[in-house]
Amino acid sequence: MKPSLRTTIAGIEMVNPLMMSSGTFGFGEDFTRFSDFDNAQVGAIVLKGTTLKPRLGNPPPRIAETPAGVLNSIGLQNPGVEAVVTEILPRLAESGLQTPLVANIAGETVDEFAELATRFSQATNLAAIEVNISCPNVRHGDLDFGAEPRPASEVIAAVRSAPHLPLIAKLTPNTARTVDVARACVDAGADALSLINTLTGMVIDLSSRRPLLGNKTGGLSGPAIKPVAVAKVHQVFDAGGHLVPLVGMGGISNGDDAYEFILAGAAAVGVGTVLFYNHRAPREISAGLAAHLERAGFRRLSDAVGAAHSKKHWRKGSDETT
Amino acid sequence: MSAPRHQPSDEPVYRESAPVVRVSALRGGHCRLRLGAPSIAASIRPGQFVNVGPPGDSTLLRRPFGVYQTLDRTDIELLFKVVGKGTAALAEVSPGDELDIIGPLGNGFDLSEDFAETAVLVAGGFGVAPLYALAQALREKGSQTYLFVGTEEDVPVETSDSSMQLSFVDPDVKITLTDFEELGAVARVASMRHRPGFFHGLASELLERFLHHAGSGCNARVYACGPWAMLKRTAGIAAEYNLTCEVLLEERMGCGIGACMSCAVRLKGENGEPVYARACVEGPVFDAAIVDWDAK
Ligand SMILES: Cc1cc2nc3c(=O)[nH]c(=O)nc-3n(C[C@H](O)[C@H](O)[C@H](O)COP(=O)(O)OP(=O)(O)OC[C@H]3O[C@@H](n4cnc5c(N)ncnc54)[C@H](O)[C@@H]3O)c2cc1C
Ligand SMILES: Cc1cc2nc3c(=O)[nH]c(=O)nc-3n(C[C@H](O)[C@H](O)[C@H](O)COP(=O)(O)O)c2cc1C
Ligand code: FES
Repeated sequence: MKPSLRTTIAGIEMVNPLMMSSGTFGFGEDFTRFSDFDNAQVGAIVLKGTTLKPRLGNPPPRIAETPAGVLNSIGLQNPGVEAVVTEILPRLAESGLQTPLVANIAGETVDEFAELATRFSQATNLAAIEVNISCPNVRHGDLDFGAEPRPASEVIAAVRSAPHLPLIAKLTPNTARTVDVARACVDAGADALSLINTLTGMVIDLSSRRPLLGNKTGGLSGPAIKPVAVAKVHQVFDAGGHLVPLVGMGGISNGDDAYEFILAGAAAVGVGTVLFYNHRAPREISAGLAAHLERAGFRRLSDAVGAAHSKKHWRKGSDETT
Repeated sequence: MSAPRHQPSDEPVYRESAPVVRVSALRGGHCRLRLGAPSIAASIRPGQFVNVGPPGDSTLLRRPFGVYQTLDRTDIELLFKVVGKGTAALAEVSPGDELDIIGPLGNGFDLSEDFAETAVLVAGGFGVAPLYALAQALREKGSQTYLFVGTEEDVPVETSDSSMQLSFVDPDVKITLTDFEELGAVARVASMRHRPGFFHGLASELLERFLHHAGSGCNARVYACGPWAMLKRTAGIAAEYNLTCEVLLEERMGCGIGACMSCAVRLKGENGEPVYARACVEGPVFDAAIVDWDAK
């Protein structure tokens, strides 16, 4: 029997565990221009990071290629929550799209995060909110919400008090305290954790002798960061992150990569940068993952979650009913 | 049919495994590459581009290129210069190899409006590449086309001596681009170095001389592709003469299809506030009048 890829995390019911990562998939309306791309083939769509006010973004250049990776400094260019809630989400609903949609919110203050969550909970076609406490391209004064447990938990608690939608806290790898931050987020009410966001990096242009990106630094993604991401997922799962489902991401480009994240402890996976060079990746990853599960004798995906760990953990909120 | 200017492109995009039909090295590290890509060839318009996947594992991201011309409605021909890792790998492909390409991408030049009788194309170096297909389309529309190319290096395509006398340059400025001349276009090449047969100066100075000579009644349309400084000067001259000018802007890209916001071009917004547009869908062709020329 073919293993099922159906996955439910934090109440988000998905045909497979592939969640299109925030910022790499726009608002779900771009890749469908490919005749062989169908949003129905992906588990969920995480929308571009959205702020309270429309945001201009950083000066270009905003992207550089690095060995097996991509460095970006978009700076959260987005039309603002009002446009997303009143124009984009209704348009997606009208299009008949069934794929679960997850908003990705980025505030500059705790109050802004809370307000964003309140605004988004007025939408009728959102499955969850991902709280981006980890954008490396945007400064919050001296505060980097995702780097320390206390500000992270303040943000999650504030968002939690808004009308109910499942919450996913998105963690940064740019801290030594990932595990503490993960724990703080769960304690503050996060229903799931996603990790990792991009790693801070820089490229210097040899001819101008200046940083290449307009913002000087950017966030590294793609295959180059995969081992870092796998380690973070493994670590968080081990340290109690298994209490909620983890969405693992960072450089996933094929079924092998996705399987590796599942073994490390991810209940679902993010698909991002690979889309820039292979829009067929979601289909290929699903097929590759199913083949792995079948070969290893797992009847369903959830049985393989965390199999790289010596003892199996109990998880809350993930698919245990099938 | 072409999309009106600055409307984001929402046309279908094809992915093709495109066999290399021919590859030829040209002067100055330029390369001409013919690929079999029937779906793209049948639908691409001048100024749109393709995103070419790397041969083997040479790079991660695709590389954007304009299309020099479509051939037999089944093939596309690219003209590019080797400038880095990706283009170096592309120059090494052989006939029979397959490249993973997507297109048509972007909006393309505006060919929908009533036409000015005269079209002036201004190019810097290999900026001439996306303009040949435009010159072909302009000829079909019945416009008289002029092309001014500025380069300090080898001219990327075949050149010859034109026998046509022009009123706005000395008779010894006679080097022309053979492909364009064969279309009935008037082409001349400018260089800041003294080179026999070249106009001594900038391509934009040729534009200025041409417009000055043509006088105020001249109803020309200007199209340009090349380095920022050249485009900025060209846009300034077109504005001075009150002419519509379209520029093809090259920006670094991620997805090429509108999803990632990497390819931002700064425009002057409606109330003077700057806005960033995506070169891969709202561009790469922009109305020069709305580009924020102080952005770089
Ligand atoms: C719409 C469009 C049409 C183009 N048409 C042509 C053409 O017809 N002929 C031609 O020779 N070149 C063209 N270019 C430029 C071409 O894309 C670059 O020369 C090429 O990407 C360089 O890649 P590389 O790996 O050799 O250089 P590297 O410098 O090693 O590239 C590093 C990264 O920067 C990007 N990059 C570098 N230079 C440019 C540039 N000028 N524009 C955009 N991205 C760049 C690359 O794509 C890559 O992601 C076009 C660019 C755009 C955006
Ligand atoms: C161009 C780009 C834009 C991104 N924008 C966002 C964003 O707005 N919000 C967010 O939480 N993550 C953002 N990310 C991070 C991705 O969602 C993902 O966490 C990261 O890229 C690692 O996965 P990958 O290697 O598969 O791309 C962005 C990444 C890229 C490459
Ligand atoms: S390259 Fe991704 S939006 Fe233009």
